[in-house]
Amino acid sequence: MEFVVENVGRRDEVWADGIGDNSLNGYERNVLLHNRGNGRFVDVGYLTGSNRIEDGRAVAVADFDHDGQLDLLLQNFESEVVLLMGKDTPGHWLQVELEGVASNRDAVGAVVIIENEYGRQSRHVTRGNAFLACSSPVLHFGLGEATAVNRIEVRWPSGSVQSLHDVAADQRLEIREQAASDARASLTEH
Amino acid sequence: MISIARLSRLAALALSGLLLAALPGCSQNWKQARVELIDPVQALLHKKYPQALASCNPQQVTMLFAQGAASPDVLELIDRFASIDDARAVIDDADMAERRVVAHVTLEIEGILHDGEHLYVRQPRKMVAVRSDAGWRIESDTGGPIEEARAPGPHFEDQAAARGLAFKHKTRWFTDPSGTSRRYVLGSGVAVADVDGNGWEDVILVNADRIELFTNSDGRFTKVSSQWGLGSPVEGARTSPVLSDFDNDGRPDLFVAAEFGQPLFYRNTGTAFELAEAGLLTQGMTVAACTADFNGDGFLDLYLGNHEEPHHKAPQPQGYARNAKPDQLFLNLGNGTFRDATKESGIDNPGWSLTCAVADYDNDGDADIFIGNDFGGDSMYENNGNARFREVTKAVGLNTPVASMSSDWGDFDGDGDFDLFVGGMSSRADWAIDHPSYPSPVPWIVEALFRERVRKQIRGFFHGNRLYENLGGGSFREISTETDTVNSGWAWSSVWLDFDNDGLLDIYSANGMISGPLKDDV
Repeated sequence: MEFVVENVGRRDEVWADGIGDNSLNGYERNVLLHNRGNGRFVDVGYLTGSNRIEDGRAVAVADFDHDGQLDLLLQNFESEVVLLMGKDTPGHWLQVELEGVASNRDAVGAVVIIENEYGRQSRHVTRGNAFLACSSPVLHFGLGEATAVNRIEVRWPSGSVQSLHDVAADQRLEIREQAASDARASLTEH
Repeated sequence: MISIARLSRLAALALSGLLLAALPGCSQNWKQARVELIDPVQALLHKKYPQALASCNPQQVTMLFAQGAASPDVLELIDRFASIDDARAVIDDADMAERRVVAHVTLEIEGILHDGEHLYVRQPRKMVAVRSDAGWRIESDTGGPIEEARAPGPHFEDQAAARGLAFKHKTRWFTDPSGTSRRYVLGSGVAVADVDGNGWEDVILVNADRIELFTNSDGRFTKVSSQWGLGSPVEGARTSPVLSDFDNDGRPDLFVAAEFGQPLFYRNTGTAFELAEAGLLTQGMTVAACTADFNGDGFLDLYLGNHEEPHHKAPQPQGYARNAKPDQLFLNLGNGTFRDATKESGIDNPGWSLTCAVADYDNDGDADIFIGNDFGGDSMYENNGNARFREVTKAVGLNTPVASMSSDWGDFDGDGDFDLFVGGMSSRADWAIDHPSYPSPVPWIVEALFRERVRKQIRGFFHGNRLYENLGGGSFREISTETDTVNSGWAWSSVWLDFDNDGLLDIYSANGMISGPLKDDV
């Protein structure tokens, strides 16, 4: 958002992009709001080394090196791109890559629900949410201590629903859309 | 009787009232309050106090106190640190008298402990500032419950250069109607997908006048823009890129929106991006772009959120600006071209769109659209499944009168429906409008009758981020305050992700407008 701001130093009107040597909400740090699981979040930007000070704009998420840890690609205003590579979390994970057949091939709009003894999680495939950013279409689930997922349900945009059972953690799954009548899913393990 | 809608619109005027230094007609009282009370208290509590704490030097803290003795508990707090990297104190609200301000302040400290661990501490404090002959000093300072988080060391490390991702964003300049050169400040975007089909996610990085492609192999990047037909100068100020498979051939195609120009559409041949005529004639000034199959025909359509240039046109009405270029919906005809279906879709959003986010929020199997508008008033459209939409913003409770920058859907509470996080600005100065002489933008009679409501509405614009919990059944509840997700600054892109693999969705938010050589804000 850009608008007229006050200039405390010179007491005249200036525009956001005509501020000369001054700053406008400059040197602000990015935040990482950690979900504490009790309905509250806490900023762990500093603790995780992700509290970058550049003038942030776009953020895209992907696991660029396939190590099961999500990475952050930051496109900043008039500065270098930043690639924050994640490392060393103890938790297990599962990644799901979808290929639509009756649905659009990217499976945008598909919802994937996983269930294990710790509960349920859902993710969906989107392209272009957030601001100026289009993250990886691969869905990433953190699993904590769980080494397997009891059930995976894919709700395709075409309306068909597919299920997989007893899937091991720590892998990237490719799931291709089957005809609605076919209950078995094709499954490729990496 | 003045209607509530009119009241809120009038209250919205106060946004600029607060931000303009010398609004014509400002009372002398307000100017005096700024100089004698608000600015010095802000300097004392927001700046000198955290700076003194960050020095870890009790002497420096003590100097700020009227009685020559700092609060023992805050000295104990800083004594825990071997070094402090950053300390921040923000006034949340204040009771103001001429020579005495009672403020509720949120204190945050980040540093390294004596045992080497990293610590983040947050604490509400009640602080009383008094004015003496020597200027403003702290009279008392009482700490509330401390919240803290620790970590042995950083989880993230910047490896852009080491992995071959060398790119520096450069913006474009333009001349406004008064002949002044200005920078285009919104920035340019990034898109991720496996473009070359080798199984690794590649990266499109956009500059105002250029589009670059970096392919990924084994986590290492190589710049291949020219080999792929990109990297030459393009017209316009480029904004959002989208990588998506629009022709269902298994290869992500590339769409890049622009302000001051038309979008570019490139078909992916497997080894190159070929510029194609796709019938995507826009209103220009496009910032946001997202894809989904809105009409369920198996092909991905495009929603474009259009903005305006505020130097050419002032956002009107203030607080609920609806005079930008209208958004557009393009349906994919499946033959490589698109058709502008905005009119028949029922979407009518001339808001200053900065973000769009698609989700099936009501679990009825189709793609609904949220649009975050700059300068006030979001829009939510429900899809009937055939790309015919109905605006439901107010009906579902997403009609908060705020300015929005970014939005993302995520089921953060694991109940099977998608919740919405909307990034917005939070102000560190909104407490000042509680001063009795604050020049209210509404007529004195309205101010006299509805003061509390007017002030609440004005402060709403600076509320910051919003977290909307999806209650199921097509309604939302705003829970940013109780979840501690309100304040992050001048928030831009914000995304859901589970960075620590604990099964819970976290939020990352990029902040900061313009950092100049002078660190103080204008």
